[in-house]
Amino acid sequence: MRIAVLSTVVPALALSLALCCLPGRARAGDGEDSNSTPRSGEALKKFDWGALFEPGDSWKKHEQKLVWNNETEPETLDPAIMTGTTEHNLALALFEGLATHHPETLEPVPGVAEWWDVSPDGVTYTFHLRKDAAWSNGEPVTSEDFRYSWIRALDPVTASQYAYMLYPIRGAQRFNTWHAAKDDQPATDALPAPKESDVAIDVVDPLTLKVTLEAPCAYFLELVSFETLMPVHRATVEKHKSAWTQPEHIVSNGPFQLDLWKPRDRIEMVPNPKWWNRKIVRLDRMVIRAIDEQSTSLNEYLSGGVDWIRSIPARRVEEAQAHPDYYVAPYLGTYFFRFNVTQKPFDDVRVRKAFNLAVDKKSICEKFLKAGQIPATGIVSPGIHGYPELAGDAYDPKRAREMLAEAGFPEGRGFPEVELLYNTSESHKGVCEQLVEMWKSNLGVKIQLANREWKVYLDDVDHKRYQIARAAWIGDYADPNTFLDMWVTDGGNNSTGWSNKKYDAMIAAAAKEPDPAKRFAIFQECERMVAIDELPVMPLYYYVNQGMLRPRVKGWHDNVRDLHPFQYIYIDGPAAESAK
Amino acid sequence: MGRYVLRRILWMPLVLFVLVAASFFLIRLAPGGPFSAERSVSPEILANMNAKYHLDAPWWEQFARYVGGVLQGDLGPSFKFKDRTVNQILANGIGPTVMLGAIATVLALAIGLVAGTIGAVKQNSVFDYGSMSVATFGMSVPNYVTGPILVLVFALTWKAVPVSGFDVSFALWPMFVVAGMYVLWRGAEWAKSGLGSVTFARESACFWLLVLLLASCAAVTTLVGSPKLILPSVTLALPFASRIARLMRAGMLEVIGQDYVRTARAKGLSETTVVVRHALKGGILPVVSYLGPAIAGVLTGSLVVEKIFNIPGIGREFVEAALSRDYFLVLGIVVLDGALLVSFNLVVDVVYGFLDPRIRYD
Repeated sequence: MRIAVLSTVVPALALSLALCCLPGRARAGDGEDSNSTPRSGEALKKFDWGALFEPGDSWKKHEQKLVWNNETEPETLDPAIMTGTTEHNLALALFEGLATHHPETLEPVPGVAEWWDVSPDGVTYTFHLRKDAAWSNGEPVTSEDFRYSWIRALDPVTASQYAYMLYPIRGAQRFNTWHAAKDDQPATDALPAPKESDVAIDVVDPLTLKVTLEAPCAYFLELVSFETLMPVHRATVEKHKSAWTQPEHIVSNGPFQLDLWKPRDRIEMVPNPKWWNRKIVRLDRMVIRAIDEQSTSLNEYLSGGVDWIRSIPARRVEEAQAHPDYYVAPYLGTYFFRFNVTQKPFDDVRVRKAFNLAVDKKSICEKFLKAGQIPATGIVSPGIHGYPELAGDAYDPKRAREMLAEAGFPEGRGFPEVELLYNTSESHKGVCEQLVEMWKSNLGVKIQLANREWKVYLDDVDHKRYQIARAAWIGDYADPNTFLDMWVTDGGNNSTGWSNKKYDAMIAAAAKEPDPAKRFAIFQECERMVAIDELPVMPLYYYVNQGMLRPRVKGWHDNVRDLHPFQYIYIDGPAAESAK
Repeated sequence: MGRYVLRRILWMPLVLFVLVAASFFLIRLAPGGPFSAERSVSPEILANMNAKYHLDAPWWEQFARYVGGVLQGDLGPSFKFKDRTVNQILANGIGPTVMLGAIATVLALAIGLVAGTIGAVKQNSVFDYGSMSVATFGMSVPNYVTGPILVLVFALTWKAVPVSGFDVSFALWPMFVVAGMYVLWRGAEWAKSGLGSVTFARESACFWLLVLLLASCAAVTTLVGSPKLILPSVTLALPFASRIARLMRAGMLEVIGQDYVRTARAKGLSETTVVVRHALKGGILPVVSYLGPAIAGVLTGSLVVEKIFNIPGIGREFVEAALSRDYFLVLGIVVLDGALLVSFNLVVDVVYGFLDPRIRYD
């Protein structure tokens, strides 16, 4: 199961991403590292779109129609309020931010902005927009469009859940939260209510946008390509209110435009003729199904009804693996368990360690999950460039028993009644049963399973009404911080009650550290504390991304966030036989 | 009778109000809110979201606002599907659900009534045993088993129909053909026996036959024109038809053993006339009382069938809205389902009066 969770964004992601390379796509002419896109300056103008394509024109004789399953019905098509991967993939087709994602590495590459400058202190970003960027109704995309869209995302009236994506901009947080915060503490905020102009987004001229940040923020360009910062068309939004995303109203600026939206059935898109880079789009039509039943999705693939599915039902993994089109790749996510450290018996670190050592993670991955999931010894999932995987404690039932005996429960005698909380799902239940069995045979303790409906489970975890609870974390950015900063004292997603002053200080230090190597070293230290020394959580496995893709779909690249800019995708090969 | 119906109709708004009020508060008792998520939202942003949907107002104000909206036909916004209102979601979902429900109902009635009647008349025959075995199977095997089996056989192995989806197209002309043939048939009969022999009872029986024929014809042409609907309709109709067949058979058996049927037989009437004119009217009563809630149930959508075949209906919306605490969407569907159920119960009670002269409405 895929949970759309966005991790907290933190400094200096971009530094690591900048080091990613485009395999085998060396380009001549760049002064610096010939394999990577420059991060700023006029050199960006030379960004070579052609290098992202396989040459040739054999594709021309095939119908350029891509049918894929987007797993579920999108909650919205309004980029300012969307939150999940389902919506993000659609936004990538419909809208284009100042920067956009590289299809393989996901690093930010020029979008509506042709190039940008960053001031030496890293606080001021100046974006230079392309002259030929246009909305689907033919109007030019201007810097005012971006100012309006960003202010709209921050406006409390819009109530965007991801408004905090814009908080690095000077004045943004106060503009977004002033009304909400005012009720709690009327006396402290004596300043007048913030105005739009207090947010440091300045329109220099129609093609130049200047943004001033509160403090240097190395991941700001990642945010600029994020969906919350994509532009919306002011006249359309103001005229049609929440109905502006309907096909008959929508005006967008991305490679595709909305042709049909039949909720819960399908969305259809066709190329946007006004998009500035229209010539690189080869698809004529995309049909995006909203099949949320994974078994139905797999059946559609097997019958030839769709060309790409993004998930495989747990019970049919082996059937899918036998199919030549099956793919599996790392995904930026970790499956783990929280211990409530505020209560006995898990207030004792030896008990937590004993529970961790008594679990044979490899056997759960290989004999139960079977989809290539990687046993987790750390909390940061692999796939982050330049960050080594933490080698935590391995399965050791003997040491586990010793630990538990040290804590005062030899052979599990006298161990209190403990519940393992999970949310309703067959696969979670299976995993939890495996754990209970291992703890019983290795430690002699008896754990009860406690199953809750999703929202009740969230409420229980949030209020620490549990002893052990299943959990998962999916990162939206390829940076360790996404998995680590949540464990700071009273962090919004800590929910374990664990608190360590040294840890808090290290996370704060990492945020300010400009040297990527040193920064990753701090994070390693932090991760060791969470996953080896203190164990407020027990990591179980790292997620994988699995699905099926027809070999005739070209220009599609797997990546750790499962995001796919569709302008690069095309069809080269005959269609599969399917029922009409 | 008229007064009874009027009284029932006047009671409806009150029943619905109680239903809405109870649901409005019950759903709020469930832990968690519409905006809780694994990635918790900061208190300020949550406050913005609550303010947007007036969830920060006192409960009585929220309730008054909601009831006021409902009276004006506005069922409120959806917290989950932020681009659409509850009205739009229901409007989108009701079409596929009703279409599928109607086809399944017609198929179930056509198959169930015929099989049940023949089973009763030819009790203990090969047909009786055969049809009742199929009916027992259809009732006891859940649709989450029949659905995937049908998909495996007809969509994956045979590739005769698509796996999932929803598209409708049908032709009107077969219905005109059926209606034309009916007119010819009645015309020929009247011409043969003279207009004086036309009786109300006979014509009304023929009329109901026409209705069933037209409905079956519409259902079949729709299925032929839209192959995506074949498997979900059959999956939905199978347990429905099975139950109707069993009820019909049981009802007919009881009636056939009664004195007035024996009298009809003793008068020397043909077996067909005895069954169609005398027994059917009484034998169908158990089916009618079952049909009201059953049709309301089918029209409000089946979660399982809609999931397996990815039908964009309201059955899934209801369950998913409850799970994601999409308060107004849940309430909207409760209002819709409640109105349907109350209306169909009324229709059933009225039809009962026509069929069974012993029932009095006072």
